[in-house]
Amino acid sequence: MYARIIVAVDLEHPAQARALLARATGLLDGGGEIRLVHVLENVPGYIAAELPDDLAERRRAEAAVELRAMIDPALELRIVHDLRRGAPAKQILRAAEDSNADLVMIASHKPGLGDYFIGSTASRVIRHAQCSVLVER
Amino acid sequence: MYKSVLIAAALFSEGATTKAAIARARKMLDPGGKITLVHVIDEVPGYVAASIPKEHLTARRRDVEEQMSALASGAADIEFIVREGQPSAGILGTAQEIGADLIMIASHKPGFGDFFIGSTASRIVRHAQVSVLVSR
Repeated sequence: MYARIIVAVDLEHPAQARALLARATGLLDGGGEIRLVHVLENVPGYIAAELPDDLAERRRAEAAVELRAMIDPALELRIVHDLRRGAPAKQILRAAEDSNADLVMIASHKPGLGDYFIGSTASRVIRHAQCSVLVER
Repeated sequence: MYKSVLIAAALFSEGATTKAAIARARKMLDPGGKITLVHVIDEVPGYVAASIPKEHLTARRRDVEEQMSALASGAADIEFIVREGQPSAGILGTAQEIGADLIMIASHKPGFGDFFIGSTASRIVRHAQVSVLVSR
């Protein structure tokens, strides 16, 4: 159904991420490609100054391992991982643009009262994506 | 993958986007699952409603019902609902009533204006308790 799917995952919710990836596999055309994206958020400078120098690098390496572990070896050829740094919504949108995706998949929480005011990464992605977006709950 | 898919049906260009959505929904539907089409007729403010003939509004509703019925084309797995009111609220309300597990809605490609205003689709994504697929 879709040829190039971006699956945006939060590594702090691995079960949800796996479920999302499994669903994406079901929606992928033969010959299609899934790009598994995780965004490492930047920490503010005043906090970064207090952290060990190599923490960010270590976290990046760990995240890369966690992302790779999520990929079923049988599907290895059809799934690439893409680790980014920055603001989540912006980086997810950029990943979609860079790979000319036709679907972005993202998991979101069930909205409550707070979402009337703040919104979420998912709603920002929906607002600005040029392609289709599937928000899983 | 999904048991009950709600499609927010747009009726322009003879429902072309809705037809595409139905085809897509069928592929995502579990065996025995059902599709519901909903169209919400935007409410006109009271002072406007007061100055247009009542038949005009009922004719509009009838017209929408006919188009929806044509889109459903008598398929056993498709039902349709026509409501009046605010589109996002009507779509979310219907999703809850029928216990949908996926809402499908078509949206335009966002431009500069969407930074400020958003759209029915973004309101639905913000408030739906279930999965939402926005097609562009």
